[in-house]
Amino acid sequence: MTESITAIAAAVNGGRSARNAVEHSLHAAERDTLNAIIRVHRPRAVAAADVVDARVRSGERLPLAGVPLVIKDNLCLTGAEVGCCSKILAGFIAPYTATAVARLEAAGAVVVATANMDEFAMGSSNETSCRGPVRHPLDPARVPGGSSGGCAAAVAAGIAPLALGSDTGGSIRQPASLCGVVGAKPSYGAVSRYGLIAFGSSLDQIGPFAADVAGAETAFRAMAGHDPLDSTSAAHSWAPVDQTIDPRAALRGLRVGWCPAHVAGLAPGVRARLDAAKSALESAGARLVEVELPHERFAVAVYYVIATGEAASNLARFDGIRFGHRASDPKDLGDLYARSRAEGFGAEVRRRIFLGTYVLSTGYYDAYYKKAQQVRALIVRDYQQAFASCDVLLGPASPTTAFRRGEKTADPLQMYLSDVFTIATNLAGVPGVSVPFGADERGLPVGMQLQAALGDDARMWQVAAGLEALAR
Amino acid sequence: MEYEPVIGLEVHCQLATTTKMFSGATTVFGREPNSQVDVVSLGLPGALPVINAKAVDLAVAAAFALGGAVQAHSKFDRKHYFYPDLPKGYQISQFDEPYCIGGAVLIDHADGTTKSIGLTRIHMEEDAGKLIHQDNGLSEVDLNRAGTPLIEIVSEPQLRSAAEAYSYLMELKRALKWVGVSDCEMQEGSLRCDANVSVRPVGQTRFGTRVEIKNLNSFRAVESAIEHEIAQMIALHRAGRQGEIVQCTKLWDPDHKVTRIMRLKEDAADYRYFPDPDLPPLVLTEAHRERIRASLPELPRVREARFQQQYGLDRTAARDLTADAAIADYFEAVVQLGAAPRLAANWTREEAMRLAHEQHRSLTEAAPPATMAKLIGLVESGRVARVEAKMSSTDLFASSEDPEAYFTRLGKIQVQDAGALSSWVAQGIAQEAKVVADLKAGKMAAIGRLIGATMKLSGGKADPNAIRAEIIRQLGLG
Repeated sequence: MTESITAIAAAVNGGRSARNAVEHSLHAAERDTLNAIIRVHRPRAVAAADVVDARVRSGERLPLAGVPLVIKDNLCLTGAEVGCCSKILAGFIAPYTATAVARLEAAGAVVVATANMDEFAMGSSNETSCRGPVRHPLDPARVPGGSSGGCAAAVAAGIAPLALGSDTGGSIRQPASLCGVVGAKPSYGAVSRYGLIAFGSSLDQIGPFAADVAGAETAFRAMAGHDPLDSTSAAHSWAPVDQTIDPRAALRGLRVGWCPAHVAGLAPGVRARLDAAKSALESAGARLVEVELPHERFAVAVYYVIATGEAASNLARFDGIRFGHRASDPKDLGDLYARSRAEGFGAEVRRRIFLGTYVLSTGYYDAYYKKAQQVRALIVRDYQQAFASCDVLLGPASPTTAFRRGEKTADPLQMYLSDVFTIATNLAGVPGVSVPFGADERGLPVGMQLQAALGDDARMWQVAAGLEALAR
Repeated sequence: MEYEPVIGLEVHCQLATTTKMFSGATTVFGREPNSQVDVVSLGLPGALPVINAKAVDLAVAAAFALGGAVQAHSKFDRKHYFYPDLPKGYQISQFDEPYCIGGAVLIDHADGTTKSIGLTRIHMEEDAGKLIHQDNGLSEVDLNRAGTPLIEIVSEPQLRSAAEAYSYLMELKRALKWVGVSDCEMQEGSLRCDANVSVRPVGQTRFGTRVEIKNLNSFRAVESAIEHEIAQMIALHRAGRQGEIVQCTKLWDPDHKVTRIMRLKEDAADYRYFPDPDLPPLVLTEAHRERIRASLPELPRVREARFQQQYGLDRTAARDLTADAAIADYFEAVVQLGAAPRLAANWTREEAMRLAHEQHRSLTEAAPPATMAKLIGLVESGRVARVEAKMSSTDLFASSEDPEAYFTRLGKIQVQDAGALSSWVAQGIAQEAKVVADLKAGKMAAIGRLIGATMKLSGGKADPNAIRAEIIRQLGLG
């Protein structure tokens, strides 16, 4: 068991060398057997650790001092290759660092490695990666979830205490749930997207993975805040969780909403844990409130119109002209584009580009994209109404625990339904976190999802800390 | 049967910002390829656009200068197509909610009448880069221009001749330069124009089949290309072959003075417009719009009319002096310093503009208004001959000497002494008996010779107008 984020930062701020924690993590990353790590940044990490030590010696106290950090392969880091685990970006080196990564570095975190992911974050099992699948830390035949499967597995396996992923429809929360770690998608706009290679711009949000809520929340606060380089980043101040309050005590009187509709179709092991979470919260003094999200049942359909439309547009820049893969001996410009993209993108990415191109086409736009945006507005309203009667929403983060590799690859719709509980969060822009809450009958982890109103991230973290305490 | 051309213009105007529409990369013209770029204008993965506030303010100023209705709420959309000069695979533009709706450009006809050409809309967008095709068959991409802020001004199809299109463009350029929105240099591409042209029998309300002409990179090219296209269309109509006019996009070939088909309508791309999720809607508050409106200078047509009324200038002079705000400002500065307006108008248009042009300097540098006003004063009072003043102006302004001192030093101040004048004229009359006889016989054309002879006697110091008057008085010709 690796040390917690809080413990490492306290030790390094207290004089222990940052090199120590970083070396431990680099060593683990270099010996990764899960295929969670695709790139180790040893020289850079060692140099960065020395910088942290120098800063601490000069009197700075850093919230993430010496905390080893793994980043998803869609986050830019100056001078490092970044590829979204896609052949199309082969050889591309980022000339700049993503704001979220830069802010974590400023807070003392040290990037040690890049994590595997589904190609362009399109997938729920980390099986679409051009770098091969990631193995689940508890069962190598199973998937860690996706798309941030490498991040979740790396934290679960103790390679690093902190990982940075992205979540467009559940890509942080679902793998966090399957791997038994904390993973959060903050409110849309809380964390700058500058330097995150876009999938669905109106849905994408960067968030942390950690072994515990306190560590994830510390990382969130280090990243959150307005960034002039991202026009969709919010001018909002992000209050910290009050550490002086016992997280269990904070649950007293809390109104916890839950949707009866979410119970149908749950794997029995997940359902048992949901029931356990509900009764634990009730015993802690929280009040359970039944709520309805009447349009949530359209969320998956709406998502696959909006996300693919935006993705088809965002991925247009991967054309073989300026960087990445280019087909050899093109016979003309059209051939260069067609073959570079056909060779560079994997099957799932191509499928979504086709879908997205279709829904934005003249004559279909109104029927698909525009209609989906209208339904999205209804989902936003559903959430606003739900949060009028409750403080947080409780539910499963995933309908199942970790499934077997290959189990859902033949049927894209089955795969898309893995995100049935996480997608509406992104459509509504609200924050959501998956907190480990025990295991199913096979011993595979189950995560409970907590969602809060837009901008109410502090409350989400507060309740997550309480739920975490109840799980122990 | 008579035919009537129907023309609408789409004008792209580069906004005079120092940085790009959605990033901080600089926009200097003519620099080393790919030196005016950053992660945003290169379309690198993960880069995001941020609206350039200065570009928005200039676009709003342009809208007010053209009388358009600036919208409180508009949005940016993505327009998709693949081309190597378009780094993101889409251009950020405004599709169905442009920031400005309506407006008009007034054009003057030679007969003194004025026509209003309505504007459909104005929207903001970013420019693409450009391809440089090499002799070896390879093409190179230069993204210096990619992301440069543009406004596209779309006219209603209300122009009826190539000459009107030309006037419209000139008027548009005057207004946009005037408020500092753009330098409007067609050669540098900061003003670009596409023309939509069709013809129809006079009296028909339905439009004929439309052709779009691109690659019009000078004002004359616009006029010539439209003229060519109209002539071709009318000829087809007259020959009963109007069915051969197909909706298409053509390119103007300035070397051969012809338009050539570039692509047919069925090849038109589906741009798959949708609202750019990276950019929030553009909200322009009433206060913001008012601040820009209030900061605008007096607009050219208003100033032109005022020059005619206030200074008694003719239309041509007023128009020449309002071709550019700098000229108008110069003229009014000279008048403020005491020069007679009509003389100031002539001296501004002739001497000051010539000097500025020759020296590649501004009007005030080439011919400081104070010096100009004094010079005009000397000419007006008759103390320096107009011809003398003109001949000496280059030298005078180069010397930066006081005009009075300058002409005194050169002995060119004309003598106004009535006694001396009278005696020179008397001597002249005595010398030129033949001329005097002609004059008395009513041949007034002969007076020039007598004036010349008298000037000679004065050693060039007399004012020819005064000599003429004295001759007429002495000979009793009045």
